[in-house]
Amino acid sequence: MRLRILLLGLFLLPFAAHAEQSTVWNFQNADALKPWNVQGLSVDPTAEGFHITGQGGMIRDTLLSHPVDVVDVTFARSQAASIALLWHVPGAPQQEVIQLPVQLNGAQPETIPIDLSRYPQWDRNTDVFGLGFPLNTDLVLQSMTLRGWSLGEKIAEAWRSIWTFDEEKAYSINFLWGPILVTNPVARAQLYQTLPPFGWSVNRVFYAVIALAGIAIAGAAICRGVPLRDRSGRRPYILTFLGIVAALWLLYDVRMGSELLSYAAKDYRTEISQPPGQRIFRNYENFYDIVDRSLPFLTRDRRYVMEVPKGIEHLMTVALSMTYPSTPLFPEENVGPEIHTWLIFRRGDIHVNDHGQLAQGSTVLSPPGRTVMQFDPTSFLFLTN
Amino acid sequence: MILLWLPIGLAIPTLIGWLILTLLEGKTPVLLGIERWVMGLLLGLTLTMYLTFLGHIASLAALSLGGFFSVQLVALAILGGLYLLRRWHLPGIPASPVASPSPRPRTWILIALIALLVWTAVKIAVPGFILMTTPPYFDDTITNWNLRGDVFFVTKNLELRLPTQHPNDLSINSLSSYPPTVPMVKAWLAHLAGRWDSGLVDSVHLVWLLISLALVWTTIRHTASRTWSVIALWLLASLPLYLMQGTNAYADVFLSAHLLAAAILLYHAARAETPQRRLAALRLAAFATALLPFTKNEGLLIYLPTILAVTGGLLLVSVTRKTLTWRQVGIGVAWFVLLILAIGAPWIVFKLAHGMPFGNAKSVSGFTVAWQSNVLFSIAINTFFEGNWLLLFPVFIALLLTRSREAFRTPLAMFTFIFLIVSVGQLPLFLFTGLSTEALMQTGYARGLIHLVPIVVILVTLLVRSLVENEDERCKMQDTRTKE
Repeated sequence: MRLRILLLGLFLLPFAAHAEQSTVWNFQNADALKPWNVQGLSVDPTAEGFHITGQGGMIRDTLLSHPVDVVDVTFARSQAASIALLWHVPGAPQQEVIQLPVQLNGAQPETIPIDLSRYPQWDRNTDVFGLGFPLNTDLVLQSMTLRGWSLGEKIAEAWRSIWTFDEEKAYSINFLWGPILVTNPVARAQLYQTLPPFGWSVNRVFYAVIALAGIAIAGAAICRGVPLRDRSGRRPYILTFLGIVAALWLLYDVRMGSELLSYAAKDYRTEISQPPGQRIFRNYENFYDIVDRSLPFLTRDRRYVMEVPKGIEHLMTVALSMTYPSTPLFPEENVGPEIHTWLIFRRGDIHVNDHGQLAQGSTVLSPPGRTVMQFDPTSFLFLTN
Repeated sequence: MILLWLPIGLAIPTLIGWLILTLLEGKTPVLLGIERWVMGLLLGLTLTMYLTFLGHIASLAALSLGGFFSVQLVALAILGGLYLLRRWHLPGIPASPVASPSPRPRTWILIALIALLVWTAVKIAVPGFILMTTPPYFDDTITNWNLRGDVFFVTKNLELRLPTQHPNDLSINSLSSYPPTVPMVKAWLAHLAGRWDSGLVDSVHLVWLLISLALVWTTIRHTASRTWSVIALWLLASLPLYLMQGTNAYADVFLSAHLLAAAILLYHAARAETPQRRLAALRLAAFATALLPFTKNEGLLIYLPTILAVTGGLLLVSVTRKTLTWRQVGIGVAWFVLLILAIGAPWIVFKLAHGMPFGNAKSVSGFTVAWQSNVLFSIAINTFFEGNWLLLFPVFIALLLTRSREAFRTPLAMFTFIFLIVSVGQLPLFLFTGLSTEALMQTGYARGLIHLVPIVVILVTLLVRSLVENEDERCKMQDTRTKE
């Protein structure tokens, strides 16, 4: 028995031998520029990192001792722009460089974790790596971290990804992605943020297990000389196979049932158990809470004005369903003198001017009035005099 | 406390449903006692709303508390009177069929079954609680089922224009082409409570989910033990998308329950050992089928023709095997024609009279026929590679192939053919018409499967049972022969 445990330990050793390996390229010193081949750009080493301006690219030999699955690019100062990650696949012609567009949001500072393993063009052992910058670039590149994981860690991460749940969203009533297999923590963190999510459906694994189980059980029956027509002989094999399918079904049920319960738990945590003013409901955030708190005013007259950001006008229907028979004005309807109530939601461009009127820039929207409730910096309830 | 209006609101419709089922069964009951109450609740509620709709368009009843209540009282009085009359003429209540014997399973199996039931109860109760304590979230809940119900409640009128329409737009809202049953049920509950409460009006969706589960249970109990019923119930509640829809205010589980009821009654007709019992089951099936057009548009366009086709097949086989005479077939057909005309026709005439489309918010006519790429891929992903149905469809296909005799040549064929006709029939619509977006966007296609999965679960359970118990019985027979 001890010998078996020892052998098992030796067998598993390679899985644990190489934990996460990472290489950090820190750009906060002037020497860091040496390995880089810069073209077209102006790169100025500073204490914060490389101050990069202009348009062009910078590449270097990777010289890494480990494979790479993920790269984190950190900017001390960023800008909203689309840059490119560049790499060269070993063995490919020298001039053949692959580009991956990466969107910067312009946060200060900003770290972009990029899961490269999802791209079939990516080579974990790339020999040249770099960045390309568009016209009018002006940012400070602080560091790049290149990370890779061992087989054992990838298997562990795949198991964790099975138990990583999606959140309840508008599409959840039509389909549920189900468990998706990915093999690194960055891919897992980004799992349901892109549609469709990247990764392998775990159904593939289930089907493979069922197929292998079927073959193994049939093989065992044949090896033991159980004739196909021997019903009493084949029964235990059929029951074993059905048992395996049932066990996988139950496992899958526990996984998906837990996801549905996680939706409920989140709703309880963020909506049901919270007092008015702190309620957050799914991706509509505090919209329901705002309308709910405004109901005494919104339902006072038959019509009211509602201003929501472009692209989420359907929120007006949500509000309508809560305030009916009072209804919001359609955007193209004129605001008449009978309208007194304005609900402004996430409209930073609308404010109360010095004359007490609602205004969008210099355009006056309403007669003078007062803000009755301020829900957040860009959402408030306004009543005209 | 407001939720107490739910059982109160369902009581009279359930009684109406029970009475009409009992009357249709006549001297030969085909339903288990509990099955009659469950179907009574399902069909009685829809029938009550249909009668209210008739009363309303005939200007006899407003969609007010008094309007709903008076229609129910009149229906109850008429059906109750007929029931008492029948009791008077036919003393002695004919006994309902008895459920299949259910020997106590081994202790470990019993524990496993109880664990499955507890897990299933948690999965229904927790999202059910969320449904009743959070505001409506999903699009169709807000813009269709609840908004229309709220409009009926406030105006006490079957409004065909909705407040989501611009005041200058005087057209009929396309959502009004959906049968008004679900919004009317919500309006009825709101009238009882005296106010619109989304928790109360949405709670009825949980009832429809529980009805589906109960009907699966009772159907299995006709031929198999409680163990198999628990397995079937667990299987259905384990399907994530079905559970998701059942614990949200959508109408597809509602439709699935209606389709299931019609299919189960055809199955009972196919299983019946005497012509009288078969005719009784056919009368019940005719009633359930006739209500389909008043559930969702798919009920009229897809499921009514399918059920009629399968019924036609059953009647032909019955005549061929001499289990029914031509005269009895004629009687069966007459019941279908009568009930479908009585229930379906007024709704269809109403739609035609108001120029409402027959599709779901889009007309089914006028589509250009052309190959739609990526649809097959999308269907395969939704069916086999997402979390919607767990392992249901691969297992089902494998069982259809390996247990084809049971699936196609026993009464289970009623379920098999309904599934195949709908699936195969819908496929060209997705593959060759503009409805392809329903498959590509994973909306209409998945909804179609929602309607069918209770039927598939019954098939899977009974086919697996036939596999396991056939082996068991054949083993015993083989052992006996060996000993001899």
